[in-house]
Amino acid sequence: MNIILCGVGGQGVLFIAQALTNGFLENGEIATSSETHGMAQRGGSVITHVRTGDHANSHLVPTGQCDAMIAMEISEALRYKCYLSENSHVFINDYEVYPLLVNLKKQKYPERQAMLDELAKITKNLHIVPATQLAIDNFNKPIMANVIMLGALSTVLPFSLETLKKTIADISPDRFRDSNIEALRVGSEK
Amino acid sequence: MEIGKVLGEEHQEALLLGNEAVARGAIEAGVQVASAYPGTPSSEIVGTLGKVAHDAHMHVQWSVNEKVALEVGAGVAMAGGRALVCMKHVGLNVAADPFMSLMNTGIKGGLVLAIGDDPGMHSSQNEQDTRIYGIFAKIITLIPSNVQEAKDFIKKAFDISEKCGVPVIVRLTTRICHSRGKVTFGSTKEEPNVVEFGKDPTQWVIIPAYARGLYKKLLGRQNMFSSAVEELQYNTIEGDGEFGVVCSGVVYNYVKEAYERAGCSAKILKVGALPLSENTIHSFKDGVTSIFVYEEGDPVLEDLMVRHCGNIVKGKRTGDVPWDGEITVDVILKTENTCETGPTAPTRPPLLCSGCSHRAMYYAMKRSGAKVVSGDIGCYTLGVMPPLLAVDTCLCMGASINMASGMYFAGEKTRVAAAIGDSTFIHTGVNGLMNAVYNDAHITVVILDNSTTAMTGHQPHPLTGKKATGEDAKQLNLLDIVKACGVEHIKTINPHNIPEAIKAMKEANEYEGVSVVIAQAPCNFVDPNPSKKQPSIDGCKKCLVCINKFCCPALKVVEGGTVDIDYGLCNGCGDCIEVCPHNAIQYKDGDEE
Repeated sequence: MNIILCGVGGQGVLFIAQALTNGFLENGEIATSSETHGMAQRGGSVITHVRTGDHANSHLVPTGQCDAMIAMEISEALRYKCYLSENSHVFINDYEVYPLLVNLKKQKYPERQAMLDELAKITKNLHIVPATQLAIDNFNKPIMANVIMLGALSTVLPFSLETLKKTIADISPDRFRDSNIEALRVGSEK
Repeated sequence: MEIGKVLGEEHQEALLLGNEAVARGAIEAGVQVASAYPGTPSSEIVGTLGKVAHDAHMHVQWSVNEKVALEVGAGVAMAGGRALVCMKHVGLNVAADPFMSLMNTGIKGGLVLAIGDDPGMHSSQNEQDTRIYGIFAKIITLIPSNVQEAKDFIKKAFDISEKCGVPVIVRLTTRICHSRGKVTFGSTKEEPNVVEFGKDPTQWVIIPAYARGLYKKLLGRQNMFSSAVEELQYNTIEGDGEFGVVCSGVVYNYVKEAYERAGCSAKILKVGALPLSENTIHSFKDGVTSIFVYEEGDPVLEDLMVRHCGNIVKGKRTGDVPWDGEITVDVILKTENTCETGPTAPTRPPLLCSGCSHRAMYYAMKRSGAKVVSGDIGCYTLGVMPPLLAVDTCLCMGASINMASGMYFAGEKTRVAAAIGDSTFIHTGVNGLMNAVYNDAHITVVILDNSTTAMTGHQPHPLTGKKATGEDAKQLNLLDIVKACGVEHIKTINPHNIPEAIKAMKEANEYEGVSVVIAQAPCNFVDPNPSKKQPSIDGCKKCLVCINKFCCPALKVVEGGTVDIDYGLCNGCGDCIEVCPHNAIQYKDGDEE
């Protein structure tokens, strides 16, 4: 299985990637992930590839071969649309982060519906999840949108939500463990 | 599976980053000293070892720069111990002096250099192929192709280094360093090496009289090296037929997948170690009528194949494979990214964080009239981005002060400022400051001191008072060091006090000689705003000066055209209060800074 997790540096993509990769391993599958570190963290675009099976060591998902994607931000889904095909399941956080050049009025941020329409041309399996809003409503912490999105993704994974709850619990700091598990549940029901 | 665990018994498993796997390999090899300077993609190796140094019975240090790190390792290995030295690819340029001398002296213990190349320049100023350094020094280079091999090859590298009496390079790339995979642990060396320096100046002291003999010895042992490499069995041939493919590192995995997708079969030579033996090359060559070479970096294997097989070889030199970037499945299959119509995502470059003291200082420098700023490497390089546009040059670690000096010596009329971070200053900037004073440059040196090595992951350094292991360290004093370099005009300021910063810059720019402004404020990661004071905007006049001149990521233009603060991002530094020309921004509840 080929999964792409993308978003803006600081949204916690690496955290959910770890829990996801470990979920596959707990399920007895070979799995690897390939991360963006360093510069991109400072508000840049980040992408993590998670692959399982025979070609897990070929870390980068080839174009058009993505089975499932989590995009923590709408324009990031658009940025990485080359990985998608009509079979991809795309889970998009209904959230926009304006980059520098847009704030300086040197570039336009595309219209929300235009972006979603463009993605809908590629695949019918678009799942728009208001994860940041849910994170604020349920936990008063917008940062928890990432775990909610992982919960939403769980509906297309070959292993159970319980496995994901375990792998999230394993890497959560004590004070966030219970809310992270709850966030998975919230996401899985969207 | 446990994530990031590197201590444990043989046969245990963990989900490790490639860098963590390297750390585990070092532990299994009984490494006694690990030294490094942070550099993406290699930083997490010593970062990981630092956390387990005590349990692994290892001395782990952040050295002040890569040359120092390698010389520390050289001392260990000359005295019979095992040392791991880590750096990014350009770090080897800094360490090249000891590296090229070590090829001659050789070593007694084991010395392994774990070097992180960065094809595609995810976080680097250039691409360069470390395998060429291995060839340049006539030593052995190992090239792992996945996370498990990263561990296994590091461990083996120490054995082969001791056997052959030379340092060994393990060439990593970003996709190994920063990928995560399952690693099965091996056994740990039971007894550490005995460390006792043996007197032998004809080996360890490279005066020409001794060095000539040593070099002849190195040249004479090249066959022994390729035999030792052959014994490793890291160069494997799979498949058969007339169509040959040569690859190394992660590209091997991409080749396997690409060829499977394309329904093509080939005889594949996976190169895991250099120098290749004649036997290996002949076994591969046998029956092959055309050869494709896929590699990240320079045409190292390609040129080797051309030398042995003539013009049946295709690769970079024939224009069949790109010279730069990653050689992925898509590149191999030449899968074009079509469909450029429709909306596209806006550019999203990395930026200085909200509340970053560098933004404040660059803003003050611009306000004080700075026209040319010679920059350096670190988070503060991001000052090049609009709207600040505050950095005019960036070449390599520590170059800022020297390039500014050079411009002055050549007759540049504008007062040039150099902007350098605290870690970069200790790395090599201090030498530049001495040179500037000694040779009488008239420049302003701004030391951006945020008490950390930020960009690479907030590692400590000698000015921070902490070691790689988290223990306390003797804390060197920046002001004392600057004074010791002979600088007479020095001012230390808090960059978040923008009026004070502007004043200090103006005075520094007028000084006829080397002036230093130390801009001191801790990085947000090191010290998040403890008071949690937050500014608020009331009565915005929509002049957009704060956006167009400062552009903190926490400032955003909302419906109606006024500016508001994104409290999810705001760090409470209060810089925007000074930037607003209409006093529309204040701390809430009238708190003063």
